[in-house]
Amino acid sequence: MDRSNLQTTLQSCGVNCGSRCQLRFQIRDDQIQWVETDNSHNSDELPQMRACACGRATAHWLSCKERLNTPLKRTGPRGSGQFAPISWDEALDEMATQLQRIVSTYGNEAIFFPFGTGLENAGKSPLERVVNLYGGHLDYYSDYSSCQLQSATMALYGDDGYSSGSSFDQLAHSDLLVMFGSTPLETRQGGASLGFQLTRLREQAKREGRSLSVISIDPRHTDALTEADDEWIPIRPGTDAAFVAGTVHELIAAGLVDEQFLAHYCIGFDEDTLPASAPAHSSYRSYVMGEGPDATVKTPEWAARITGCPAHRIRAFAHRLGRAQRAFITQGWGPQRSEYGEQTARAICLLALATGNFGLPGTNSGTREPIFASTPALPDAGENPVTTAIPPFLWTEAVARGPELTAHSHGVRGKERLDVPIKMIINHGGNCITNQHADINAVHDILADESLCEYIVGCDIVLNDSARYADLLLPDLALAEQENLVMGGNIDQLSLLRHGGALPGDLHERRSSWNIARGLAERLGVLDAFEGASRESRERLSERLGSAEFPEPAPSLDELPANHECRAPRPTLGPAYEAFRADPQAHPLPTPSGKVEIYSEQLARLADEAILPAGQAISPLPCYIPALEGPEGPGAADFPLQFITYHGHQSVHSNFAQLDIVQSVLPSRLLVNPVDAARFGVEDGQPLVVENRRGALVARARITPRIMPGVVALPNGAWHDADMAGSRLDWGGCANTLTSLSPSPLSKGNAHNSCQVRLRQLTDEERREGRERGYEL
Amino acid sequence: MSSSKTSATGGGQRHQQFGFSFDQTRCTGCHTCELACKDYHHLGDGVAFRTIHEFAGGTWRENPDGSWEQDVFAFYLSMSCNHCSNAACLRFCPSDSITKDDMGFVRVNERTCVGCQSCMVACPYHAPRFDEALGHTVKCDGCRDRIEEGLQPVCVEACPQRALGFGIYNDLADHPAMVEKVGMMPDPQITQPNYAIEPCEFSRSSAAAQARLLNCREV
Repeated sequence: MDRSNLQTTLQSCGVNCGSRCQLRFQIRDDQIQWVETDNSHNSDELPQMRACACGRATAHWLSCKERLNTPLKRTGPRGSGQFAPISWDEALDEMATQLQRIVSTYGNEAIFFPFGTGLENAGKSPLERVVNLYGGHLDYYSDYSSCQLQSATMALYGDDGYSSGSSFDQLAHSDLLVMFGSTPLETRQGGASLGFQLTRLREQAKREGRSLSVISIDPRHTDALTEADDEWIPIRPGTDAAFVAGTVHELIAAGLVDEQFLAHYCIGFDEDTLPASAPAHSSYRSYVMGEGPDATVKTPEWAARITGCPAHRIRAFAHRLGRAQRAFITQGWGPQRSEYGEQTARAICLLALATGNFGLPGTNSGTREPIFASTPALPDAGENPVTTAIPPFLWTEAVARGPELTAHSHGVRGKERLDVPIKMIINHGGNCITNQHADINAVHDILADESLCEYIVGCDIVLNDSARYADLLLPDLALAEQENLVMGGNIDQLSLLRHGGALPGDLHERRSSWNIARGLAERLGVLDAFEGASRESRERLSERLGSAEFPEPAPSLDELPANHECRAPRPTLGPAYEAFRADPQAHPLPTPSGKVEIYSEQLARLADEAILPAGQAISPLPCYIPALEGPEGPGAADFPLQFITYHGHQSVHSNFAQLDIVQSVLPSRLLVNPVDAARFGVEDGQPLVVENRRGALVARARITPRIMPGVVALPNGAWHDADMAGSRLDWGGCANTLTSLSPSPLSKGNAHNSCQVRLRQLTDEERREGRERGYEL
Repeated sequence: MSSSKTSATGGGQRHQQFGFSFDQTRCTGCHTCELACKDYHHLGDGVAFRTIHEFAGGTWRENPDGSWEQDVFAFYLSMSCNHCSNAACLRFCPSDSITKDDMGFVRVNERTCVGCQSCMVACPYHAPRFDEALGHTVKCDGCRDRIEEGLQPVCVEACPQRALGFGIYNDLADHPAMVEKVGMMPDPQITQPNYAIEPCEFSRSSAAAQARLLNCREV
């Protein structure tokens, strides 16, 4: 490799695993030659922030063939991807005119910014700041990541669970790590992130002669299972709450329940701690012992039939958990991303409660580890004068049926009922219009009808599948192309402030989103308010640095010039709910009772009041409710396989997934168990059609024992690629061609992992179509 | 394990046999080493100098109640050129285009290589690859240009799990846990590879013999 005349630009990986791993771009003649990562001094206190495979592909991402270089205006039908270049003046004039028209015709509530994580520094959009100054827009609350888990911990603990869990630091005091659908070695795979922290903590335990085994409860055998003493407990998707009930039955039978903890800190495990409003036999113990309304004893044998995990393994697990000195119980966000995700998430937490592994060193509350901000707060989007908000997953409903959405049926906040449907979408740095939303074919039909949503603006760095639906498309700069300030985010092992330098090179007609928004603000007459007190970019950077979270006093901009960073050890956090455990009277939880609410009066009330689709239910208890599209669901005869997605090593959401270099190294494969391969006549490497009533995709099979029979899995994020005017067969293998728009009952969250499918061979006609689209078959 | 593979010339850093090490207990199959190598060496979506082998074993058995018994396990092996002391590729090259350099790296002279692919057949580790566009063999050169500047090979600096190492081979191999063969790898006597592997529990177990390579099309 020619190593002469190289210059280095210090930058950060900007995607939403939330870690800000170090990238050092090697540049010659204004061209990126390759990317290096952190090779500075490495220590246990300050480990190198080595980027993962995704971060290392950043140079290819910035120059990919899908990169947007100039403003575009749609020329073909919506979603066709047919665009013509226009000037920035034309583009901004057009956007301002449409915004004015929509606001004067329908009001500000008709404008919506869908969820997206690709914004500059993953903060709020400057375009949103302009619209907020122009009267505001329909808002959303929560997200696509952990909607159901947030509702679950809100009911149990009175907080949204994002920052209340124990960090992995606590594993230094644990002898057992129980992970439900959690794989930090895939979701946080950077070199100073959670994955390597887990590796280090396990090695430390070994050096100290202490056991720290991992039990992974997951339909998929994950990369966290590295030692002979580790245990994989595969269970069918969406059956976690049945597994927990069977486990608690055994804990009760063996006298391994922490009765004292449950009596003092929780309500509703037992009849005598139920709130006065609760009917008799509505405690969790009654549910497990068959004394509740369903009169079914939740024995391990009962759970085995539902979960697919043999009863003897459930018993063995209960004993292993019950006898652990300190068990750390955690869950990823996959299990809760299901039809009854709220039940699943609460049930997993219940295991920590039933065994008293709570609030003490070495324990966790059952939720995920805390996440950290990756950007200083400024510039924010300002105040949105519209206070009406919807769950982010329901935007398609709000387009199609706006005023039918109510507080009781769809979780509308700030208003009993939406006044107007969504008429204008501004999609900034997100791929949640199609690719990362659900049921792409249904979404296409909703958006193809231009009488529903009248105008769509996209602002992004690449022409992803969502951007294809824009009427106006604005080319943004990537994080790494701009001078920026980041904090370490989910680099869990240290605190960081990094002042990235702008990359040189031809930016074509791309503009920073701040500049784009400024042009819009000017046209809408809100420029002064938009820029506020800080007109100069240096002033803005300085303000942001001042607002950064850092364990030491943050340096000034002079002390931290571009292409520099400073780091400090991350302060160790105590176990989740430590103060509450130590003194529940002095430190009550922010729940109505001040205690952990295993039986939730709030949910009991909602169960009566909420307007739910037929067949859906809300329960005050974290009991198991079979999903319509679960393994026991009525469609299983026609669609016998459960389809789940996971965060593969190859992409972060849809970022990087389409790159040739990434696909050559980490191709997306459908995981199929050998038992199912024999049953359905599948060969390794063979392209298959995966289908249900919503759609069909093509994926190549990987026959592997690392997925349980009856379940197939794809890494999430592959780019949708279908002839939407023709067969609609998705050759890109995007999981959301198959997933459902039906939300979960409580949080109205995305239930991607409740999905029934079947497999079949490609037809000759489909093979012809695939070859015409450039696929090797 | 101990071995004495130091170059006969001895002396300073240059006249040493360098090699890689691999802590298999840490590898998670994330492929960062492979991608960083491709990025640095401008290999695009073409041949890879370093690849990750995914092995898994275990069987599934259904109970009468529909539940499943299994004993599944998995492990990974990151593989590149092992810069063997007795390199088969070198011995079989008819145009004498493969040599060992003064750091012990096995190098291909791209000007004289005729692209006959004899080396590819000879190497039991499949390290040499044929680049159709270039018409000759390509392979890992140990990132010699980086070593000369005091850096580590790009794959080693990339590994988020710090599973890969690099150095003077005798130092790397001088540890009782190190082996030169795990799973289906060939007998190290054949070519004397300079690859020191700390095997994980699964690849040391008797079950390892039934493990299957899951991604044979990708290595």
